[in-house]
Amino acid sequence: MHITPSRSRRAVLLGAALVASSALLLAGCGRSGDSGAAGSGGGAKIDDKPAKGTVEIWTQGADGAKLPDMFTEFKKDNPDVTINMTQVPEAEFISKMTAAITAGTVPDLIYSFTESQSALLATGGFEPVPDGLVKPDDFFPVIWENSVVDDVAYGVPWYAYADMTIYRKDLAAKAGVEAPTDWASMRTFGEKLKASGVEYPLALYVNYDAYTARQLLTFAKQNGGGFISDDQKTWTINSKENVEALEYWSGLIKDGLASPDGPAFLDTVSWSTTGKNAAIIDGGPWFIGWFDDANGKGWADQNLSLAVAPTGPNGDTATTVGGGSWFVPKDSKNKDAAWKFARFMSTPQSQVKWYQIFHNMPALKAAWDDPAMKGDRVLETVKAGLETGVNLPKVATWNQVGDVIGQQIEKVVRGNTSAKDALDEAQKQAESIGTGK
Amino acid sequence: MTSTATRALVTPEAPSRRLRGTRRAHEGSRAEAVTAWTFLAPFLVLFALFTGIPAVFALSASLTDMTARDIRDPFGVNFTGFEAFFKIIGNPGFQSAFLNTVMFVVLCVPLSMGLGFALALMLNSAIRRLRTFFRAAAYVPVITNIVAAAVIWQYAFSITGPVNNSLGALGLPQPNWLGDPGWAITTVVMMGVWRTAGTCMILFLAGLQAVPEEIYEAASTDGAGRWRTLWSITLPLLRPTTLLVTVLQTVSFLNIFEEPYLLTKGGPLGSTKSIALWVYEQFGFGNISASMAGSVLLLLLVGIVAIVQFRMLRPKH
Repeated sequence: MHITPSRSRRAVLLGAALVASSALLLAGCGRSGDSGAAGSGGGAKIDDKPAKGTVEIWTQGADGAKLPDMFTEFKKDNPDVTINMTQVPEAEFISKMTAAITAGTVPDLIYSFTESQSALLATGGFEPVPDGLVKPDDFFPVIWENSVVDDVAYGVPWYAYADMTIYRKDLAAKAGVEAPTDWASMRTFGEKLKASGVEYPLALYVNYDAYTARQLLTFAKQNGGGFISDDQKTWTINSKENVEALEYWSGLIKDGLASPDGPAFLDTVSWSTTGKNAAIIDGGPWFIGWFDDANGKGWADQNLSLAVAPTGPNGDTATTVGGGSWFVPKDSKNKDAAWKFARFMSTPQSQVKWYQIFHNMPALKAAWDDPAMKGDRVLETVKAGLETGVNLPKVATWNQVGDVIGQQIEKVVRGNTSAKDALDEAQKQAESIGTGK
Repeated sequence: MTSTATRALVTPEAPSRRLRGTRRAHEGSRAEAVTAWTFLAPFLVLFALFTGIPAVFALSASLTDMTARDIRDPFGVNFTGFEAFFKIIGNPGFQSAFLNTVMFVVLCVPLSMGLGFALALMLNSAIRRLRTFFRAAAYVPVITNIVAAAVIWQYAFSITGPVNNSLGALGLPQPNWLGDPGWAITTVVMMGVWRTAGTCMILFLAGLQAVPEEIYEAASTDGAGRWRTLWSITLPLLRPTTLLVTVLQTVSFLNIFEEPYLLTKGGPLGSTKSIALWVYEQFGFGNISASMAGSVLLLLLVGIVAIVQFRMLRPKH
């Protein structure tokens, strides 16, 4: 390519124009003091009249597919409402929502999983829950508090789940082991299964990302630790308790009781079905349904036992929990109807109905008293877990810090880094990343 | 566009005292220019909307301390000059992504071009039967959906996957293709080469077919052997093609994203994280200024490398 003088001059001009327009854009910049969350209390009170107008809902994950069944229910009492639903791929949800908030082209209602709520709320693009819409105490605190920022609640909880130990009945019987109840018995559980011929008795979450960090957090809490101070201001990643938890967790892998390479999330069922794993530690309740999907209906009942998460050396309990809540963007054009639908979804009837439709478990405590929710071992295990649920750090930078922790965990597992050094490094990086305040 | 046309556009009111002929010629080129701009307009509009404006935004955002928390008020950020650039240049994660990217380029570009050239030579002269079939077969990876391909690669190269099962059956060692840093790089490079060798092949094939047959005949009359012909005739005449392919491949591997993202998520231990993947992650974490600064640096890198290559491989007169 030969650049002629006039062309290069034009290139320079173009560059100058770009810089000039950037400068113009930047001239209006500058932070205007502390632009924290909106003031206290919620927005306008929501009355009991039927909802009207059009509600635009964005959904993510598999949950969206069955949601129209609930729209039909809602319309029985709210005939004048039209609900339009758009399914957004889960992996793109935050960036799409972020873009929509920037452009002001938001839907009227969304739901967000617990893991991404802090990041979304940090955009400042959501309405506080109106006063009196729902009663905070009616929900499991672990789900309600997840969307509370500076004492203002933004989300109406929709559903909740708690992880558990899911293990193969037959393999456990063959090895002569009972459900693990604490750290010591989990180790013996693994060792005996290994001796009986299971290659990697325990399935841990080994993707070394923010979800691996979340699993470590549960172990840390079982040991009296945690990643952040109670006021959500100071990272406490390299505390003695956390280091011990990581030593325990990575020790399971180093001693061959768990594989450092898998299962990855989606092949969890196949590893346990083939007997390469005998137990999923900290597994979500959906796996039980997935076992049936893969191996035929009734397989899970016949072959799997369930147990609540083990307790730590001093008897501390902690369980990984998650779920989803409803959020109304500030620029929503029909906030009234949006909140009414969120309220409708959190009534005991709707909570039970949704469980029957999709097997997502109620976030509303009262819904668990319904006869439909009794006598099911999965439900009982989840309910017990919800009582001891662990909150993720409620800061906008959690996904990034979680990723850093995940990377450091990988160094312990695959390299020669000690648990202490790894968490010291994670702490250092987390401090430089901050809490987004 | 000629310079007369530009002037005609810039100064539509031409001085009145002109010779008729010149004037008419002028009007003609003016009409030509209008037509040209009309045809260019759709492209320019799309370019401005989807490349120009985002580029200005990226450049601007890289000079601020913008994060995802500022998106409702994008102008309420502080101008920080080149701070974001200095910060990421000093960031160990970015440094390792930079080195990984350089490594992908150094490994993938020669390998994919070598393979593509070899395939092109074979298809051009050696293979007579089923030529169309082989040509299509070599090109299939290019048009295969990368996500579908990556899922299959991930399955095939997992520790208990078909590749290791076959190796085991042959009594060979079974590496941890995706879990060991060195092997993960190998796997990503293999996939990158597999996916782009077809493009190189097609371009080389086109170049080879443009070489006049007479030159080969003359060479063979002069007693040149096969290697001598390749070295002294084919390669020099393919210089423009080689330049094009080198630049295209280098640019595409500098921007490498899909292979590591889909196969390894940049792991294990960050060994396959490229600059593009790092930028993408930072955006996901809400560090908008850092991610924009990273993409501006990547763009500069691509530009510099392309210019250097064009200069080095420019045809010798």
